[in-house]
Amino acid sequence: MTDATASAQPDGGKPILEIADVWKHFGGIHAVAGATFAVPKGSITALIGPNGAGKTTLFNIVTGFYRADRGAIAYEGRSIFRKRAHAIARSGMVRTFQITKALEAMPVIDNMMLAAPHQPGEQLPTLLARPLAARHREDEIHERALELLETFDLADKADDYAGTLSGGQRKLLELARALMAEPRMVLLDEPMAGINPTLGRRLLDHMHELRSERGVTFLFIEHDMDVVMNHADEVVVMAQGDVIVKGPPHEVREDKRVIDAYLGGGDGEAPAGGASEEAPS
Amino acid sequence: MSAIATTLPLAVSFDFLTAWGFWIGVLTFAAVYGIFTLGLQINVGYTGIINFGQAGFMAIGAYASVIFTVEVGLPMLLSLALAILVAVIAGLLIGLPSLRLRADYFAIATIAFSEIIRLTAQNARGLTGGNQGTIALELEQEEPVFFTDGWFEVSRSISDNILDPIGFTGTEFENLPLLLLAWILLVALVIVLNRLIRSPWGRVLRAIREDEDAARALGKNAFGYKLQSLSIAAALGALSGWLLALQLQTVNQDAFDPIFTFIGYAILVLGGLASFAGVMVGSVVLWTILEGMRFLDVGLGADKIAALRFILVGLILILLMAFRPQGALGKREEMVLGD
Repeated sequence: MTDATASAQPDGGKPILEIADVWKHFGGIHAVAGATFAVPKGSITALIGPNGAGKTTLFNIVTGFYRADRGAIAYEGRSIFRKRAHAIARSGMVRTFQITKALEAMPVIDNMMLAAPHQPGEQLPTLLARPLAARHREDEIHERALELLETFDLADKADDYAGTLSGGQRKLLELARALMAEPRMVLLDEPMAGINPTLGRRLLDHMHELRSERGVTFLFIEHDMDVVMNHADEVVVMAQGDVIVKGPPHEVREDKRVIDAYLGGGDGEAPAGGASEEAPS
Repeated sequence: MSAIATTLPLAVSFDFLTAWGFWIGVLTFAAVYGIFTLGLQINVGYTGIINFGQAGFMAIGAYASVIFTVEVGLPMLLSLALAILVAVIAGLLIGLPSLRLRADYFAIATIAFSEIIRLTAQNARGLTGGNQGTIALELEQEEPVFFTDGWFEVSRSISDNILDPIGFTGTEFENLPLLLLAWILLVALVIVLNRLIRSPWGRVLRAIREDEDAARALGKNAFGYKLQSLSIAAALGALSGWLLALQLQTVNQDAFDPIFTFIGYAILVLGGLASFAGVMVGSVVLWTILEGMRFLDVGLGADKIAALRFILVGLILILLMAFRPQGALGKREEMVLGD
């Protein structure tokens, strides 16, 4: 825990998400085996590790898509362990998926508006009892959605079906949609995978902007070591279901355990970006 | 083969097409199964859940309204309301344990449910009249009570006061009031459902159809919405069952064979997925074909004609899939069965 909070954080290192001794097995395999770490509030934290290290499984547990065998998870000081996915999302922690989940047969604008919280029109009783409240909220949501689409350069696609977007645009849409939910924490599963460098840079810019302007905390899984080293304040390294190292990027990259398990090759998959060869600046 | 070859070109008479009675029958069936299929549309076309048990909900609606009227002695509309309630409860009972299943397993669970309802109705003779149908129930009352009594009173008053003065007189038109009732209900439901599906509530349903996990990750209780969707389908199925009971005037289990659920699916495909108005078009087209074939004298026995009807429907569906997969009014972009 001490090294996880070593670097400078906007909010004095107070954790927004605390994961303690989380276990999950599939058959005889322990996909997550005692993972423990904290994500400081307002930080951009990267979760790295070789394929099969349990990163995505841990994401799924934290966001309520899988049930862990045991452990404890607290978000903003309250336990979210084994809470249901939609309830966790409503409490202000929103995720994206490794394979983008654009709602393809719905227009881009509907994708966005869907994510907005506090729409009384989403419940049948309130929709029927207070149709005007629903319509009023719908106008607000529509305006906000257009603003966000503007920011993400997707405004001209608002009425197109999401299925017509390119892979990179879908990634942007998914992030924009997550932001419609007014989250205080966003979990991104490989946000840079399969998108061109220009769009990728824009996505990273948005991330920094949201962090500095609104104090949104980010936790992201990433294989591109350049991105991790240049954009994360904190790095958590997982291998074989457990956290092996955590700390600021420059420390993590020097750590012998990380080099052995991930960066240095071995028989694990070589990370993209080749950061290990770079001289520390 | 030779027998067919020699008789086929003969005597195909289209006289029936000019008979009022034919069209009143066809259009009433079209409206009844249109309401039935609106339930399938909200499940399949808008929520992405494959409900193969719609005939079961229709059976519950039909039997329950007859039982409440004849055996309990409740008035017509109260019986209908209670019958819808029973169907919704059945929908919740089948949905709660099985809506968490993958779509295909859920489909199997619902077809099993529908067969359980039908076979129970066939065998619970004291409650449903068994294979004789509900006419047996009506006759065994001390003073025979008929399920249709309440409706016939209304129907006669519609005929006397509205239809007769404008020239629709005689036995040919005695079923016209039911046709009007069924179509008023169908059109009203299409309007209401269209508004619902375009509301924020409907947007959540469509999102669940696209990707349940994405909807959950955005804070939507997907399971709750799927339950609501199934309950609405159950209510629509029950309402169509009540209308069917009025049209057939007796309720028999063979009207709820799973084949009728698939007739609903044929209507869906014909009219187009994700379109409530398409259901009306699909239903009229399908019932015109199904009923019209009865009158085609092509030198075959009635049983062979019955089989031929379904061959023709199958052929039309295949051609439709090849040349216009979105159906009459469906949106190609919103097809769930597309990829």
